[in-house]
Amino acid sequence: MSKLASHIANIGRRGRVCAAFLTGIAVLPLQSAVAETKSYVVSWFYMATYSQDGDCPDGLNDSIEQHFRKVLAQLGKSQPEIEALVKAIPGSMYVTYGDRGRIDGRPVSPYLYPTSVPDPQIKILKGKVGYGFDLDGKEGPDDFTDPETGEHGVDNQVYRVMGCFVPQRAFPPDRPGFPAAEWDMPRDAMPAWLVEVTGDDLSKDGDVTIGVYRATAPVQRSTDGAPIPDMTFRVSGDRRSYNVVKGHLKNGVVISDTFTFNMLGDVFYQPEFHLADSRLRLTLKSDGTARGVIGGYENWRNLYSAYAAGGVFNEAVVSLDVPGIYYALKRMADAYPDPKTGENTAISTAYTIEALPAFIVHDEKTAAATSAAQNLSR
Amino acid sequence: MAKTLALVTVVSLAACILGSSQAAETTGLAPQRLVGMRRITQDQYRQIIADVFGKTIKLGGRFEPDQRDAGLLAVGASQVSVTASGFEQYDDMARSIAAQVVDEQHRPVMIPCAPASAQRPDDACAGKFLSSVGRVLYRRPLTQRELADEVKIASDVSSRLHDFYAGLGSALTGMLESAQFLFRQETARPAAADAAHLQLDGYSKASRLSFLLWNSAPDLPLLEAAEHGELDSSDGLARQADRMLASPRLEAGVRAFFSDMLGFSTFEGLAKDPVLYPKFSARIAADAQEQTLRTIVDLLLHQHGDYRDLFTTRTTFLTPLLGALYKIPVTTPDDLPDAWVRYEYPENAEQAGIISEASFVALHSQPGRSSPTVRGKALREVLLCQKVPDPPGNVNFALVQDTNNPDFKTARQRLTAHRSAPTCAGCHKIMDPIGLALENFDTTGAFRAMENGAPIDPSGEIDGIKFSDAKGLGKAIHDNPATTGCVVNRLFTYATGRTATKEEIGSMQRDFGQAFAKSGYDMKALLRSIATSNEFYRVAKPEIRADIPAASQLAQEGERR
Repeated sequence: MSKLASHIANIGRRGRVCAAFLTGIAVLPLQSAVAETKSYVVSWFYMATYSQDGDCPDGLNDSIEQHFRKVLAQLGKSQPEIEALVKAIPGSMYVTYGDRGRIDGRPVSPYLYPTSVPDPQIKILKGKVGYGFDLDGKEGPDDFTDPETGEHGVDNQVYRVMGCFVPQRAFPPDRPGFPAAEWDMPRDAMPAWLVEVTGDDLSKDGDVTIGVYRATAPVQRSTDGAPIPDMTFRVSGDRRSYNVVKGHLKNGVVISDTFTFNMLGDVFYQPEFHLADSRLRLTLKSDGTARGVIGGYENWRNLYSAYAAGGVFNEAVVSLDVPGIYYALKRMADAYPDPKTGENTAISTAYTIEALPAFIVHDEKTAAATSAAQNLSR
Repeated sequence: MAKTLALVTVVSLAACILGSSQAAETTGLAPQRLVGMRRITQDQYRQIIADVFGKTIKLGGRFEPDQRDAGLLAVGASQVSVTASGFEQYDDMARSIAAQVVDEQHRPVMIPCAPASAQRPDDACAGKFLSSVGRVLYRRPLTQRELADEVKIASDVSSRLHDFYAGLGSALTGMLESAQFLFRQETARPAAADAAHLQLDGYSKASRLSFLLWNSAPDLPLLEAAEHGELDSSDGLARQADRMLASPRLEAGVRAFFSDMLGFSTFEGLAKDPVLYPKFSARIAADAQEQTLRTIVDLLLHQHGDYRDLFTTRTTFLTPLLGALYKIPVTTPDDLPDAWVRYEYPENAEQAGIISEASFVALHSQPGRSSPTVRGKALREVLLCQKVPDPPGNVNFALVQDTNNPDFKTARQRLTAHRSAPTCAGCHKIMDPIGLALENFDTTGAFRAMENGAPIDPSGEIDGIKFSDAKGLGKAIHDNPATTGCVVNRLFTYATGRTATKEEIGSMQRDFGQAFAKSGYDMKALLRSIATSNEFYRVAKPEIRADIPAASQLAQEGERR
C-alpha cells in the first residue's frame, strides 16, 4: 500500500473509532456553538486553470484529426488508408482507438493498458502562473506563483500535465470546457457538495471552522441551468465525504489549515476524491456567493482512472490523449514516493470551487460524525 | 372537416336541448325549460372522470381554454360553446378514456356484467353498463330513447367488429363527447309562489350543489335524493348539504372556488425573465398556487378559522423550491425530497397572509419587474370586488417601465412621477398606495429590502387606514368590511355561474353576509347558507325572443343539412 493510501486508510479507521465512541452521546450540530455560519452549495468544481498566451511554448496538444492521423500512422496504416479513415470520422475512430494497444502483438485497450502504446510525449504547460498552494514548503523550478495570493512555490503538476489540451484551457472567470462539462453532467444525480464556514463574526478577521460535506440530494437547476441558490440540503452522515478543518478568515478570504480532503464524486465523473496535505481558500463574496481553490496531493492513478473511464470519448470527442496523460502523470507525480520503488504515488493539483448560498441542515447522525471529524482534525 | 365538426357540435347541443324536453315528457312531470348551460371546466372534467372511472384512467389531449368572465371562470363557463378544434380534443379524450375503461385491465372492475359472448352484442349487459355510467355522466337518468340509442350504437359496432367491448367503448365515447356530459344543463319549472322566477328541478339542483361543494358531478346518494324529490324540501336539501360539507371531498370544492377567485388559471401563461429571475420556473409557479391553496384549506377547513385571517396568518406550507425562493430553510425527509412542510413565519418576518405569497405577488407582476399598480388593481378587484377602470389608450408607460433610470430607482419614485399626469392620477391613487406595500417582494415573490441600491418604502394607505408594510396591508384587508362582502359575492356568483343582480347583491349581503359574520366568518357556514338557500336554486324566467329560432328548430335544420 502506498504511503498516501495508507494515510487515508488510517484516517478512516480512526474516524470509525471516534464515531463509535461518540454514539449515544448528545452532540450538538457544528453551528450551534458559534455565532455565525455561512453555508454554500458547490455550483462548480473543476481543474483550476489560468491559461495565458505563451504558457505552452511547444504548442498545444493535437487536435482530434491530428491525433487520429498519428495513431493511424503508428498502427502502420498507409496514406490512402489514413485518408479514408479520416474521412470516416468519427465512426472510424471508435473502431481504431479502442484496441490500438499491443501486448505481444495482440490488440488491447490502451486505456486499461496505457503502456501498450508508446509514450506520445504530450505537450506540457510551462507557464509560471497557476492556482494552488505551496504544498511541500519548497520552491522548485516547476512551481507556480498563485495569481490571486502571489504565493510562490505553488505545487500543481496536474495543471502542467493537462494545461496544453485545448478543452482544458481557460482564463478565469471562464471555465475550462471539458472539466466544467465533467462536473456539469453528473450533478443532476450526484448528491450536492456543501461548504460551511463558521466563526464568531464573519464580518471580521478571525479563526473559523470549515466544513465540506456531501448532501443527501443533488442540486436542482434554475431555468438558466445553474443550481438554484438558497435551497436546503441535509448533510449525509457518510464519513467518506465529511471534512471539518480549522482555518482563518482575513479580508473576506478563508484559508484552511492543512487537512485530508475526502469526497465521493460520481461514477461517471470521478468516483472519489482524496487530497492529502490539502488546503482550501475561499473568498466569501458580498453577494452571498463564494469562490476559491482547493489544492493537495492526489493519487495519480486514481486521477488517470477517471480519464481512462472516458476512454474513446475522451480522445475522439474531447481531443485528449489518454495514454499520453498516463505517461505524463506518472512522470510528473511529485509526492508520496512508494517506499519500495521510490516512484511518486501522488501528484499535486488544484481545483476551482464556485459556490452559491444554501441552507445546510445537520441531523443527529451527522452531528455525531461532525464531532468525530473534529476530533480527527485536532 | 372543421365545418363538419362545428355542425356536429351545433347538432349535439341542439339535441341535448331536445333531450331535456324529451326527458320531461318521459318522466311525466310538468314541462320543463332549459334555463342554463355551462361547459364543465377542465378541473371538473378531470374530477368527474376520476370519480366515475378511478384515478388510473389517464387523460390525453388538451382542453379548450376556459373563459374568465366577471373575474370568474365559473361565469365564463356559461358563455362558451365548443369550437371545431375543441371538439376534436374532446373526441380524442373520449376515445382514450373509453378504450381504457373497456380494456382487459379495467373491464372486470368497470363493467358490472359479462357478455354472453365477447365477440357478439349483448344488449342487456350493454344497457346495464351504459345506464349506470350515463346516470353519473349526464347527472340524471338517461331517457329511454337515449339509452336505446346508446345500446344500438354498442350493438352495431359490436356486430361489425365482432367485439362486444369495442361496441361498448364506442357508445361510451359518444356519451363522453356529448353535450349532455360536456355541458351542465339546468332545467326548471315555474316556482309555485313566484311568477318572476323558475325553480330548478331536482337533478339540476343536485348538480349545482355538487359542483359547488365538490367541484364534481353528483354522487349516487345525491342523485337518488334528486330522484325521490328530497331536494325539493328544505330538510332534504339540508341533509344532503350537510352530508357533503362533512365529506373530505369538500376540499376539492373549496380549492376550485379559490383557484377561480384568485385567478390561478392565469398562471398557465405566466412567465418571468429567465435572465433576471432564473429561480422562477413552472414548478415554482405550481408550488406557489399549491402553497396558497394549502394555506386556505388548512385555515378554513381544518382549523375552522376566520376567513379574514387568510390575510394575516403566519402559518403556511412550503416545498424546498419555495424555500429557495423565499430564502427559508425547508427540510424534508430523505425519501420525500419534494414533500410539503408546514411552516410558521417568525413574528418579525416580513411575510404574512396569502397576499405576500408568490401566488399573489408573482401572478400580479410584469415578467421583468414588480408592478405596484397591477398588484393594487388585483387587491381592489379580486379581494375587495371594487372595479378599477381600465387605463386610457394613450398612456405613456416609458417612465414606469424604465427600472434602470438613475433618477427614479424605486417603483415608488417612478410611479410618483408617472402620476403627475392628471389623466393617470385618479386611478393610480386607488391602486398604487396599496400595491406599493408589496414592493418588498420582487416579481417572483422573493423578499428584497432594496431596489437599485435604494431602500424600499412599503408604507401606504387604504380607505383612510394607514400602514407601514405588507403585514400592515394584510391587517387592513383583514379589517376592511369589503373583504368579507366580496367573498360572499364571489361565492354566490361562482355557485350560480352568473353575476348577481342588484337586488340579489343587496339580499345576499343581508342574508348570507350576516350569517357569515355571525359564524365568525366560517367558510363552511357560508357555503352551507348558500347551498341551502332558495336563491341558489332560483333562476329568472328566460326572455323569449321571437327573432331567435328555437333550439329544436336549429337541431332539425342541422339534421336536414
